[in-house]
Amino acid sequence: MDQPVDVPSRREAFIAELLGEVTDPLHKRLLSAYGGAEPLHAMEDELRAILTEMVSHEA
Amino acid sequence: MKLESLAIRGFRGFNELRTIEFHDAITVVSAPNSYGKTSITEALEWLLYGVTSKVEAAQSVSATEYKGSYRNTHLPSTENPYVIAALADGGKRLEVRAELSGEDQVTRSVNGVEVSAWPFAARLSAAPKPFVLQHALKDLLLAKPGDRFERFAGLLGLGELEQIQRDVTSLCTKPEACYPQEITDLHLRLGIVEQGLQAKPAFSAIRKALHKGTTGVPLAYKHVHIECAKRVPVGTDEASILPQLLKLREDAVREVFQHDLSLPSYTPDEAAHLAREEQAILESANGSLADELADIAQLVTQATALRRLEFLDAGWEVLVESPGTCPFCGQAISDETRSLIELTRSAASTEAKRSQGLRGRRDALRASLSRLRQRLQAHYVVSTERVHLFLKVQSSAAQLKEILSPKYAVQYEAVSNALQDLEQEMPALEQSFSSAGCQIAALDRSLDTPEPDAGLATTLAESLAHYIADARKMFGIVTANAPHVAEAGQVLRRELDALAGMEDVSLLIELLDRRQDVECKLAVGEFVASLKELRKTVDQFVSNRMLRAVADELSGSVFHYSGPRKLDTKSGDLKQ
Repeated sequence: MDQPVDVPSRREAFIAELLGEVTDPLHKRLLSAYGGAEPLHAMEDELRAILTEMVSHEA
Repeated sequence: MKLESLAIRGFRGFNELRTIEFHDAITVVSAPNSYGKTSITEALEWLLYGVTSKVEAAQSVSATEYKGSYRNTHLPSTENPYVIAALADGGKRLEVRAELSGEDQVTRSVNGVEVSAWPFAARLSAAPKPFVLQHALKDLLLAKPGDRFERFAGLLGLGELEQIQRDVTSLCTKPEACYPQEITDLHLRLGIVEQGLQAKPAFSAIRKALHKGTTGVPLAYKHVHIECAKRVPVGTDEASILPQLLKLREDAVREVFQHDLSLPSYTPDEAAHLAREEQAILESANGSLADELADIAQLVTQATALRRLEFLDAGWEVLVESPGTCPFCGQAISDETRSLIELTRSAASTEAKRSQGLRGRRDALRASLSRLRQRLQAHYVVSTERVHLFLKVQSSAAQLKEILSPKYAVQYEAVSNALQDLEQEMPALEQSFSSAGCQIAALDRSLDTPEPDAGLATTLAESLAHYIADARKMFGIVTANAPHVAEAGQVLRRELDALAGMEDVSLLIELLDRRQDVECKLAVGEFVASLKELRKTVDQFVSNRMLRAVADELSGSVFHYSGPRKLDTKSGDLKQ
């Protein structure tokens, strides 16, 4: 009989699948940031961080 | 995993124990309204998930509407509702049982052994719920076209995926909303360069190369260097090109207008530094300074005590050698008189020590006044340096007006107002600075006078407060006018470039000086454009998943029911 185990949420599972579909590392960063209580905000924050890095010549 | 049978007791529409055996392929339950068809689905759903979709949906609106609704109202109060399902899982057969006690206490068991969670819980949570509420179908059919996709995704258990798609779409269609200030500033800085390139046919090769994006940058800068070489002496080395162009431009522009139009805002660091210094200046003349001065005033009166001690010390040395003779008049003295002299000498010694301490405090006070003077001077310089430079433009105000008006009359007006405000405020600040400096000097001098005036401390504190108030007012005027003057400065620069015939040179200077900015802006533009690709990838992924889910839902074996126990199975009729 199989035992209950911790499994990723469906959202995490979809994101994991999507990450396999994209190749651009910056797109991967955006999708990887998608999570938490406010996933869109988290992704927007990541976009902001990427742009800030680009403008400060870090990315 | 297959459902073989379901036994229900005291749950929803079922009072007596009923067992339903399911067919291997498909079972259709048919009955008039209120015969318990929905209760069968709900019993299985509750068994598996501990809650039904109907109650879950209702709880999001009202926590009490469906309270106690699982229990059949006719079930004796001494008994608990329960549901038992027989499941075939590979070669194994499981009998899973859930019993409801109280409001929502569920006791689960598998093959008679109590468990805290179903052994197949992981598989349950990873898959969409295989239950569709009647009203969900109705919602789907009545939804607006724009919402139908979302509802349909929800029905297929792809609600989370649809949400991801919506969020990615939102991000990718309006990335500008996430631009940090640095990107906005970058666009502003390069806007003038882009306008210049557009307006100059001679620079079309540069413009075309940059139009290709980051890959065109090397070619664009090859053309920039070709254009630069035309404007500097032959043989100028790479490193000297930019300084040569700057000098060329500066010399030409100075022929037209002598002054710099500049009133920079205080940087955050400068503003913080000024605020800290102002606090320190004000604190240096607080109440303790007056107390210190009052103490030091005693120093003078104690100077007499010191001289008296020196006198008594000298006499005491003689008295030690001739204890019975007065060291001053040579007459014989009594023991009582001798003790009196000793006592007087001891008291004078104590006073002298105290006087020495006060002297140390006076030196410390003098040093702190010196530091205050330096601090005040430095504060004044930082506060007014840029103002003095800006005010020099006043002597060329008429020429400035001629250059900027009428096309840039608004900008000229802004400069004129700034000049007027600062000129009006400057004398007051100079006066209060000078007055504070005089008060420091007066206090310093008074430390050597017979009786330092403690009131000077109060006057100094008032002078410093006055100066800081004037300096803050000046700070406010500079901060309010700096952006307008900066705008006028940019306009003036362009006009002077045109008047001096230096527009091309100025553009080349900008391109050379801002190559990193140019590359950065192009890279940002390309990245933002690439977000459309990300959106397409997500759309395609969601679309594929939806199709797969539809195919999964509508595939399988169906059979025609033509009477009890007679099954005529036919495979794949509905398969996509």
